[in-house]
Amino acid sequence: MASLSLAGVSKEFNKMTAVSPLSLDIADGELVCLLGPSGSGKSTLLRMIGGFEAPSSGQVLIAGQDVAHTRPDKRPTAMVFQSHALWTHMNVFDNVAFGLKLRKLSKAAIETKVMEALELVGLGGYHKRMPRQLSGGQQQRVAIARCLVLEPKILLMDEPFASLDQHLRERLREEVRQIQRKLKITTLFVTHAQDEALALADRIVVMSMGAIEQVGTPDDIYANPQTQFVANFIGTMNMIPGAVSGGRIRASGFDLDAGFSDGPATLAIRPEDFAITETGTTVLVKRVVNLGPFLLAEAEHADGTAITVHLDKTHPVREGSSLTLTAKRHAIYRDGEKPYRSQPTA
Amino acid sequence: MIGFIKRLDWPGYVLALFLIFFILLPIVTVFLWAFTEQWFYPSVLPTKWGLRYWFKVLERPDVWAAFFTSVQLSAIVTALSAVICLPAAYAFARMEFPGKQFFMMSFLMGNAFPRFALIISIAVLFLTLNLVGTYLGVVIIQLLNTILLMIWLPTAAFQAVSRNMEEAAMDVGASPLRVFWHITLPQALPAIGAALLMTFVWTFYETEGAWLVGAPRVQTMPLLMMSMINNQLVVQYGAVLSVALWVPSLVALLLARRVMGSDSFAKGLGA
Repeated sequence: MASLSLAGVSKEFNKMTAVSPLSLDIADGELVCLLGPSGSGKSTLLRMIGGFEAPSSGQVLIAGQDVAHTRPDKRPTAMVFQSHALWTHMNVFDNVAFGLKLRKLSKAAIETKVMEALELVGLGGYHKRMPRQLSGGQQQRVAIARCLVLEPKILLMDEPFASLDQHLRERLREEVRQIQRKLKITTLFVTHAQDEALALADRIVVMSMGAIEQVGTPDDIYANPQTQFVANFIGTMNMIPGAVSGGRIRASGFDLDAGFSDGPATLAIRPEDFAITETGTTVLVKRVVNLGPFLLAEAEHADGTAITVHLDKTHPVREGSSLTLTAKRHAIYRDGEKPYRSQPTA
Repeated sequence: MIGFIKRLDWPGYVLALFLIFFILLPIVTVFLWAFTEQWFYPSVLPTKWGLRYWFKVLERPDVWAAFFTSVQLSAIVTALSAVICLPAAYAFARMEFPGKQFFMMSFLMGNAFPRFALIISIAVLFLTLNLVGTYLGVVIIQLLNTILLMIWLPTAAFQAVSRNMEEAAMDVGASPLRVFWHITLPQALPAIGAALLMTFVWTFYETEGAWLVGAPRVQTMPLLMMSMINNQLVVQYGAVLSVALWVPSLVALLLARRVMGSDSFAKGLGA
C-alpha cells in the first residue's frame, strides 16, 4: 500500500487538452472516486496513473517515486477495466494466475494465491470455467481477483460496474468497499454515477472539462458544492435566477440573506431544503411523483420558474394545489462559483 | 394446387438450378470420368466402371514427383509468407507509420490488374534475373500471390483483438513481447490459421505463375494435370488427377475444422 500524488499532471491529444495541469494527493489506504460526465478527463487521468498514457507534463508519484514515464508492467498499480478485459482463451484460474506466473512464483504458491483471491471475490470453485461461461458480474469479479492477487500498491478501477444492472452494481460496489477496507489498498475509482461515488468514496474528486471542480468527502460535496457545476451534477439542485441587492437575494418570490455585493446571481436550493410554511413563496404543483419514502413535487412559480420539492408523506399534496415555501438552507452562485452559503435553519 | 404453386420460392429454385448446372454438374462429370473405364455415346452413364486409370496414373513416377514438388512448394511458400506477412500485418494493425493506408491499398491494387498480364510482366523481369525455370523463381512468384490474403486477413484479426485485453496483460506485468505471445497471438490465431490454410491450398493449386516461371523444369501437380489434359487423348488421366488434387484441400479443411473448431474457423474467415 502506498500514497499517490499527482503534481501538475496534464494531457494533450493533438493539441486538444484532455486534462489541464492538476495536483491531487491520495492518502495510503484511501478510496477516492473520480466523478464526472463523459469527456471530463477522469479516465484519461486514471490511464496516466496506470501508465497507459504518458502525461504531457507533471509527475505521478507513488510512495514518493515518480513513475510518470514508467511502462505499465513496471508500475505497482493494477487496473480493473470497464470491459472486464478477461483473456477469453484462458480459464478463470489462468486469468488470475497469469501475473503471478510472470513473477516466476512456485506452482504451489500460485495455486494458493489464486484460490485465495477467487475466494475473496466470492468465486471459489469457478477456477476451471472459461470467461464465456460466467455472467457479467462474475467476469468483473475475476478481473478484480486478477488485480488483487498481485497485491498492487494502487488499485485503479475504470467504471468497473458500468455494464452491469443496478442491483448487481449496488451489490458489487458494497463488496468492493468491504474488500478495500479489509486489504487497506489505496484505490482510485472512476465513475460517472454520483450514487456510486457517494456510496463508495472516502473522498470524491469532481471533474469537468479536464479540470478538478471540487475535492471533498461525499457529505461535503453534497452539502457544500463549491461550483454551480458540482451543485448541478451531484444530486438535484433548484437553480433560480435572481439578483442581490442590499445584502439580500431576491429570486422568484424568495427573499434571503446574500451577504455579498449587488448584482445578478443564482439562488440554489436542494429539493429537501424547502420548508412548508404559512408565509413565503407560493408555487403551483404541476405533478406529484411517489418515490417511496417521500413525495417529489414538480411545481412552478408565477414567473414560470420550475421548482422541485421533496415532501414527506405527512404533507399530502395534489396536482393543481399550491404550496408556500421557505428555504431552510440555500447557496448563491455568481459566474459559476459560490461566494455564499447560508447555515441551515431548523 | 394454385396455392401450392404460389408458395413455391421461384427465385430460389432458379438459383438452385443455376448452381447445379454450373457447379455441381462439372464436378459430377469429372468424378464420373475418374471412375470410368468405358463410356460410349449415347449412354448417359459410363458403360464400364473401374479403377484402372487410377492405377495407371498412380504408378507414374512423374505424378508422385509433381505431388511432392507441390506439397514442398506450398509448405515453403506458406512458411515464408507467414514469416514476412504476419509481422507486417501486426504493424498495419497496431502501429502508425507514413504511407500505411497507401501500402495497405497497394496490396489490393496489385490484385485489381488482370492476373495473367501481371505475372507475364514479372516473368519478363525474372528472365533478366535468371529466375525463370528455377525453383526459387516459382517460390517468389507464388509468394507474391499470397501477400494480399496473408496481410489483410491477419491485419483484421490483430485489429479485432481488444486493446483492453493487451493493456490488462501489460498491467499485470507482461512485457510487450509477452503480451503479443500470450494474448494477441492466441486471440488472433483462428483467423491466422485460416489464412495459413488458405495460403497453402491456393499455392498448391496455383497454375499461372508456376507455368510461366517454372515450366517445364519445375513440374507441379496442376501443371502436370494441364499437360495430361492437353496432351493425352484419354480423358480419364486428367479426371483422375483432378479428383486426386481435390483430396489435399479437403483433408486440409477437415483438419483445420478439427484443430480449430468450426466456430473459430468460420470467425477467422470473417463470418
